Amino acid sequence: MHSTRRLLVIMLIVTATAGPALGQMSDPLDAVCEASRNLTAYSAAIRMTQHQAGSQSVIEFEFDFVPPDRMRIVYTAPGTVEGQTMILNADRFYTYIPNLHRSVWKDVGEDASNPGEEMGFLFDFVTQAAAEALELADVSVAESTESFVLEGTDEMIEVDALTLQTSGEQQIVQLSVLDAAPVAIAIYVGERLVMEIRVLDYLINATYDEAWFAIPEQ
Amino acid sequence: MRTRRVLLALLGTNFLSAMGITIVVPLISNLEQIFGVSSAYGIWIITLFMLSYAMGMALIGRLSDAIGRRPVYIASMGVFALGLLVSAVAPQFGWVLVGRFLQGLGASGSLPIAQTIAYEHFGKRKGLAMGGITAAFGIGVVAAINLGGGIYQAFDWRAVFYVTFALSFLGWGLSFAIPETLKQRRPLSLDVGGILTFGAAIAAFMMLFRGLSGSSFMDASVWPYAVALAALAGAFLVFERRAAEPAIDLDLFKAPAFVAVIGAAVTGGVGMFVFQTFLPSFAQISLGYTVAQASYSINLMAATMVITAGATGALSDRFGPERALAFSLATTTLGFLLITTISHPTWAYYVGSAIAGAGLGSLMTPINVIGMREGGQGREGISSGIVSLSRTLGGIIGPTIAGFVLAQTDFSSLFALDNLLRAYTRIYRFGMWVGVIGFGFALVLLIRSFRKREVHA
Repeated sequence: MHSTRRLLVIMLIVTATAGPALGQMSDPLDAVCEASRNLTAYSAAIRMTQHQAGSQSVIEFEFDFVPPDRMRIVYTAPGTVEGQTMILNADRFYTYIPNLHRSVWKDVGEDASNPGEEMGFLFDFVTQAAAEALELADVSVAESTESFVLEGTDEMIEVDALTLQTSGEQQIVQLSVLDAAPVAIAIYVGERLVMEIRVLDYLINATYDEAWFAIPEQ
Repeated sequence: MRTRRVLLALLGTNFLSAMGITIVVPLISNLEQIFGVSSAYGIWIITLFMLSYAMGMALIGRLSDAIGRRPVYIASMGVFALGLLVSAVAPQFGWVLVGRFLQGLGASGSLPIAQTIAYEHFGKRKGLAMGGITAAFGIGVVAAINLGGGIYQAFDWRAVFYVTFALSFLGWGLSFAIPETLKQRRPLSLDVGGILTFGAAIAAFMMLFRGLSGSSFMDASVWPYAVALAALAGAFLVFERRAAEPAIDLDLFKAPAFVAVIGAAVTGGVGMFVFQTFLPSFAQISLGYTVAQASYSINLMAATMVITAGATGALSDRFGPERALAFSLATTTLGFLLITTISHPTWAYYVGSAIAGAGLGSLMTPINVIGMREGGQGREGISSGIVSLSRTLGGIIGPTIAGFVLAQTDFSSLFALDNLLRAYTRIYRFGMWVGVIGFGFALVLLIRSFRKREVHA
């Protein structure tokens, strides 16, 4: 009788202490999957840094995405790429490089890499595929949240940090506690940092204009 | 007085023909929009010009050894002007292409025959005269690049051809002031089969690489050109062995020094055309220049080209063409290296292009002097033609391979412009290694000249 009561007490203590921990571990994952699944439109200002062979390239752009396959990117910095535009509309891709007065049209088949894939988990999020991406990776969640400044608005937010490990690649993703949107991603290949994505400002499920995704005639 | 008049006529005609060749360059970047044709059709405006230019070089040297420099030079200038007129009045794009074919044929005679005339007419000061001609040609190129875009923007594409026609017509008039310098005529026997297979092989090469830019080798739009290239190259060799007077005298290649100078000419041609062709767009990408700013930015390279073209003539007369050639190829290679290694983009661009310009400007005179000397007396025309043809071949091979490298750029990457910049770096590195090979040829010639001097001593 005593032993049964003792067991019950132990179980209650374990449940009481482990419950919040388990909840904290699963909540950001559930939240990001749900936010991704329910996404109807995404607009953001983004800075990306590519690290390659001792040098780094930084670009900033306005990014609009409507799931499943409409995307517009307009470069804002540096000056050499300002005004460069990329549009994806279903299986048709278009880019315009103003410096060179050059337009490129391309068919994006199922086998072809998608222009946004370099954004890692952020692209999975906007394409409503966050759940699939998390399923394919070994995921761990940091125990506590961190503070993060959205540089576009100087707004301070709290973020959860996830680590997604797949064969050969690791992504450290920071998700806003408020709406589970990814705000920063660092992509490593082995030990080497290859790409950093930082969201400067963003809007989820806001209105959009179809004309943004119209590809000019070839 | 007569010598000065001849020099002025040679300088004037080359300045004007260089303008005629280059002034259409601003049109080339926007063919589809200007002529309302597909890019695949529009690109023939370049292909046909290069084709007839190369074929003409194989023909004109032989012709000038047989019937004289003066009539061939006058005819070349006349055909060039006629081609520009045909393009200017063309009722449809097909006629523009006919005009371009004639322009290439005419242009093929201007520089090599002028160099031959200078070689034969100016005795000990031939290097100086030949350098002056190259410099005049270079100034013409620069003037045209600066002028062509302006004429097109102010008027239309026809105005570009009309202005060029007027300049070339003037050049044609000037060419009558040039004397005959050929001392002994050779019997005329044209190797039509050789010239045609040679031209067709060049066309197959260009089409092969153009196909490779967008498709894999096994694609039906690619591999047949490789087969055609192999077959035409074989047929060309058969024609040349059998011809009494082959278009490209293969016997000349039995002399190691001639082979070395041809090697230097091909590699120098690769360097010259790769550097010049891609420099303006490189400025746009790496420095963010507008089209107009990029056009002006190449003036520094052009200036060093023109200065060294003139100075190398005197250097060649005084120290020998082998040293001048070694200087040219070493400097060109250094320019290619600097443009890819200096970390500050503006410094890399201007320092690299200025140094490469100095090297490229000093290329033509020594290769022509050595080529004509090694070809032997009575074969100056054909030797000069083969040297110029080899440089032109380099000019076709280099940009074609570079264009292939550029076509591999992944434009769907978010870092497309960085990818493009890396492709340009690869192109300039390719130019650098070709320059190293060219410098190897120059060293062979230099060592050989030292040994000759020791034997004479």
